[in-house]
Amino acid sequence: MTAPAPTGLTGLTGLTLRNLSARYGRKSVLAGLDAGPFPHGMLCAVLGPNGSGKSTLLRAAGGLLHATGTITLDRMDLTPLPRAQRAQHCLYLPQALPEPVRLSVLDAMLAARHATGRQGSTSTAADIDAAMTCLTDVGIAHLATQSLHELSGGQRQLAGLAQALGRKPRALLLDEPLSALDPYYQQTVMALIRRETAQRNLVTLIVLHDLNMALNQCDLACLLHNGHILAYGPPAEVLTPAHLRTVYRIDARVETGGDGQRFISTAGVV
Amino acid sequence: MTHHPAIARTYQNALRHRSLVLAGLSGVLALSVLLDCAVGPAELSPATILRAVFAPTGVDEQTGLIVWQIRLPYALMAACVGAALGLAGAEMQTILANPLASPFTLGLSAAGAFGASLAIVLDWHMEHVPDMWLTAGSAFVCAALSVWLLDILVRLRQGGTGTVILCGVALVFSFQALVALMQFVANEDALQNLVFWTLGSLTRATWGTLGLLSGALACILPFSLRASWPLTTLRMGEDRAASLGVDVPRLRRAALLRISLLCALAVAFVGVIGFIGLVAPHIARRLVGEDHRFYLPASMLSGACILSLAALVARVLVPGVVVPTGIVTALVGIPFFLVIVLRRGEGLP
Repeated sequence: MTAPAPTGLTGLTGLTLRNLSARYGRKSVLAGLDAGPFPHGMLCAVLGPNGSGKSTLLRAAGGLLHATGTITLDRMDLTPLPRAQRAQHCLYLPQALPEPVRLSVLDAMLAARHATGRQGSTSTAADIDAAMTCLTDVGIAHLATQSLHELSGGQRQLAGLAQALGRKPRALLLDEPLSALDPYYQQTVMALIRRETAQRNLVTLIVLHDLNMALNQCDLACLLHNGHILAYGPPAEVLTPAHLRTVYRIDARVETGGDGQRFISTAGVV
Repeated sequence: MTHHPAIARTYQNALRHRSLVLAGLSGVLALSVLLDCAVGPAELSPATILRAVFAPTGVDEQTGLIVWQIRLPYALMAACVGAALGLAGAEMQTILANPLASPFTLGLSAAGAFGASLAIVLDWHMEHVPDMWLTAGSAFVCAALSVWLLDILVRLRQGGTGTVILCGVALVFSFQALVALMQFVANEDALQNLVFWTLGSLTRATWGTLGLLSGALACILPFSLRASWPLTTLRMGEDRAASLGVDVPRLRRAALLRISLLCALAVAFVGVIGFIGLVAPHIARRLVGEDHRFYLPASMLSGACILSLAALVARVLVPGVVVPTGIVTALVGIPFFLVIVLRRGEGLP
């Protein structure tokens, strides 16, 4: 049932999931799923309708959910690692925004940095420098001393991203990072994720509901259907009318607009 | 050294400000404890108290006796119990991600009251063990059991923090009903004793109980502070903390263990004193924010201050009578609490 990896991506580096099974209570969500390899430096959309197992896939890969099978990153098996170490390699970012608590953005950055014990550098000045570099990267350095409870949802999402980048993972798993944001921040966050993925050479998986975003902004797409991967490859090859019909139960076509942007035109449900 | 001198300076200033707040709270606490010692039927000036404490040979025997045997244990017990409840409440609100969580609202106090009522009403006696310690021990066992039960219920359902609160509320009502049942079957003497106990009173403080509680506090505080970074990340959301590599179930279990020890000991020695564990964290959050390196000590000191001041009020309110402290904390504290909550004007913290 597994779609073959797209040509040219068969190298051994990147994130690979083999025979992954996970369940919530008695309900099996993933049963023997194989996925990847997801290559470095490319943004890969994880698509599928509600309940298809997208979040479960990411949580299992990030180690937040107990799952059987193997997860390898650059030929290194992550499954036996304790949670703290695993987060150093492969970091999952939850769907919920950081809570609006009375904590400055800088405090939040430092807390994320020290959450699993103090990291290499020990001086506070060095920690602040590292935090400020990440905040500058995501464009909210000017908010460093503001409290999270004073920020907008979009700004908190950026702070959350900065926390994740500050941990310097090699793989980033983003669970619907755009769902709580307005169009301005959706574009801002997406552009940021694209840029950082390329610059830091990250393996980035991103769960999206916005198919047009996947079509135009992602390098790869991975389509989930009932807990297995139906298709994996360049977004235009994955989001075909046949696949949309099977997976999303919609009658839709992919069209190209005047500016070269592709979009999905939906005629109705099947 | 740093490339962001302005930010680094602002940050250092914020840290200094928070440290000053902690120092200020300690000052208020010291003053309140001193006043607490000074007030009473025998008029003693704060100077006399200080002399009796630090140079016992300089005062007459009776004054020394009053200060050492009556005033000091009472005043210090108030501070210690307040500190224990403040710390427990702060950790509880963080691990349950709920501003309503406190030893009182989750049934620990009620369970302790039930344990005490068992010992009092069924008239338990044990050789070589004073009745007071037996009552306290029984309260401790029940309070600790209730936390354990809460943990099991929650793990069984794999529930989030909402489940914890609901289970806690269920425990409150169950134990209150059981205490009422014990009151119903109690004889007159036992009933009198029990009512006094459930109202919360510091008058039975001794150096023994004080030593045990302050020792427990001194042992537990370093563990709480060591967990302050992961606890701070937990405030930003359970999933987020987990994603950053924090072992949330383990963190939560360790915190529950600390909380149960602190609350169970506090309840065991002074009875039911609500409200401190609920309000101290809110005050601390307003004063120093939620960096747990400061928030936990601030909540502890706030709790100690409130209970110490309440204990003071309890003795001056009606001359010659010590009103049960639990009543005072509620009556004086709740308007105060409402002011804090309503002034915020932005809903939950």
